[in-house]
Amino acid sequence: MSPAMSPILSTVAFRILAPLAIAGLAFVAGETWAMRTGVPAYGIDETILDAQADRAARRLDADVLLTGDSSGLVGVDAPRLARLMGGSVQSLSTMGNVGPAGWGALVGRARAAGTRPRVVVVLVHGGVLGHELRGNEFEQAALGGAWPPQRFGANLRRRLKLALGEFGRYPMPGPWGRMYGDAEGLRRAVQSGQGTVTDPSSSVRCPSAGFTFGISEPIAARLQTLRRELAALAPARALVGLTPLPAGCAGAATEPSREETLRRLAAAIGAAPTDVLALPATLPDDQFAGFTHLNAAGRGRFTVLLADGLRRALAPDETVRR
Amino acid sequence: MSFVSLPFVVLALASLTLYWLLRDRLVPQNVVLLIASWVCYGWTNLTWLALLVGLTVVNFTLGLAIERRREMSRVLLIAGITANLGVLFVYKYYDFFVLNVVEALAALGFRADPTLLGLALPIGISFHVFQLIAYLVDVSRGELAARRDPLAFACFVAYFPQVAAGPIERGARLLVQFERPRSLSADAVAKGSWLIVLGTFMKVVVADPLGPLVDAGFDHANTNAASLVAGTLAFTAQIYADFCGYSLMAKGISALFGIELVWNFDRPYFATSIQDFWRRWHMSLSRWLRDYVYIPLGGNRAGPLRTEFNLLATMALAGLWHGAAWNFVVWGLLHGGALAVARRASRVGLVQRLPAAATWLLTMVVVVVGWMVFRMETLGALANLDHFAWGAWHSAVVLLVLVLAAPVAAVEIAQWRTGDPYVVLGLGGARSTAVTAALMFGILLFAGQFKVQFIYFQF
Repeated sequence: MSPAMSPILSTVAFRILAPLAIAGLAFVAGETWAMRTGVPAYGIDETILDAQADRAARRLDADVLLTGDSSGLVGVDAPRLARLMGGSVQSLSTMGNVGPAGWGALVGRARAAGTRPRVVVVLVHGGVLGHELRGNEFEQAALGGAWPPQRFGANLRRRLKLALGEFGRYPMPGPWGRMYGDAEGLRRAVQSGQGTVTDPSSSVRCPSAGFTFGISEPIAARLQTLRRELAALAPARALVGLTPLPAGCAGAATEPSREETLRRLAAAIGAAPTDVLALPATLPDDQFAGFTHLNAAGRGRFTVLLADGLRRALAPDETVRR
Repeated sequence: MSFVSLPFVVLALASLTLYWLLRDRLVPQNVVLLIASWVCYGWTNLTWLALLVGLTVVNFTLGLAIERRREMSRVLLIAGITANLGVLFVYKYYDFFVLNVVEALAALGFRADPTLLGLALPIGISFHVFQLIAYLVDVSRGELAARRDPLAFACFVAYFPQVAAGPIERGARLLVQFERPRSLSADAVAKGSWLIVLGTFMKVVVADPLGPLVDAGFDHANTNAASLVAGTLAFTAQIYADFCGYSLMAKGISALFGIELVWNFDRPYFATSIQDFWRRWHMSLSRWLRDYVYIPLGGNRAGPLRTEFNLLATMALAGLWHGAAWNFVVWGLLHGGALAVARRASRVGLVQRLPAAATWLLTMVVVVVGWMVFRMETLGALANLDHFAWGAWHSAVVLLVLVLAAPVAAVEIAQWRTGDPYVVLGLGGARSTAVTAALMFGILLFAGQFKVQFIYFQF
């Protein structure tokens, strides 16, 4: 090493490496502290799951309880459905990546809190049933009741983002931010919508031309958990339905595969063939906010169709009202 | 390639290591610099790199031709400026120009259906085009000898710490540094690394978290004027932290290569007059406009009215330089008008009678209103505002701006009191290390949380 390098290395050591080591140690200490408690990120999906988990922990006045993925969350207007059905309606629908076991866990939490619906409706989108769902933080949060620790390095940053979000009321990204503002705004919307909200997005992209339905192995396995939770709500009747696809995404194989998948889904959750809701396979593309999500117009129309389907599924002497 | 990305860090560290392994060997060092620069620039778009190489070849050749054929130098200079501005026009202004012509024709009852180019704007094109025009003008004026070393010249055009967003350098300062041996000192390492840390902090901890709040404040659907006010205040902090942060990082990275870049900012929000602001904000552009536009137009040598016209014309150009949109032109005219008014007020002794706090406040009002115009995509959005309701969100935004900017303000106040831009380095071992460590902790904490591109990359 040349003599000229010595002061340079000394400078690198004291001016760069020493402060970097101190900052790194402080970060590691903070991260270790943050890892002790899971911290949800400040995002749309996390907020929805948190809001629904909070609602599930309270006794809900629900003659009809909806559960399932986000196609039900944004595809149904619960207050409107309640008016159409003449009874109280609450939704605990969340997202596809929460999975059937997670949906079941929320239903189980609602039961434990004293919620006693007469009818439970499982609403799922075909695109979700085919997912090769792997354990993820959303499912873990729904099952465990708290957010699991993240990979090392992410927890302190999540805490920071959450604190900044709560302090600065950061708007959610894109159209969700424009419609609901910050996370608290979305949380309030979930509450006032009795567990349902409108998706303000607008971009329909089909995953493949001529969509075909199917149930993946991981989803099939998790449906057993949902089945147990539904059974525990007896004598509540469990009904099941598939939410619609954009018409432009359907093909010749869509309808037959849908029938078969609906039959398998009903069997998996212990529903009789008469418990399958007659719902439209498709709706026009302009009524969708995305491949799985209806927009405000589609939501209004599907809510009416769902009310019709529920009426048809219920026996003439059966009502949803206690 | 952004400074705050992993590929850039890898590229910078690899080229820095190789560069100093080749110390005392000028040509290989320049080869390393050029390869790193071209990789950095061509990372996202090879066409842009081809354009940059083309501009390098054309301007290198024109520089030599201007010097060798003095009788033709004026024609060659005009050709060179036209070629450079032509590229800028095609990429940046053509569609804007055509759309405005179509609108004007439509207003007269004519219908036109032109083809728009829709070209993506090469990163930093306005910066290197202005830098190259300055080179040709300096050569034609005899202030700078045309360069004969194509390698050094190519480094001057593509030098990766400053190619994306300046500072706009002069050949007499930067080019000559590629032609002589460089050395690395402990002082340069200390200063360079401090600038990188401070610049990164400004970008990652101050500018980026304000991005979503600025977007929300300026949202078209927002009809509350209070949101626009809060968004403008946030943008005032964001654009400074973003651009000054970039400039500090550029200067710091360059210092580690033994090459000195000019300061681009000198605490602009401490300015007590609009002239003072332009001596402190984007200083390399201000000097360029002064030397190559304002003075050639006549500067202040032809009477007050002509001076005021020159100020307006120069600042309108400064606005248009930022982007092909009318809000930038209005922003430039606002500053030009403020400069003209301040000049008149100063001549009648009005400015001298005001306390410094009042002139600072007046200056900041102009600057902040200017940023509002600058950030608005269309001035027509002002018509959507129908009420003013200051709420908790607006207070939270202002408080967040103050909290996030406080560390930078503290450093700048210390710089202002001591006159030393490296005041933190002079604090002594433990205190200096503690301040640097605190900034680094902030960077580690915020890194990757708000991914916002450098604002000035789009210009």
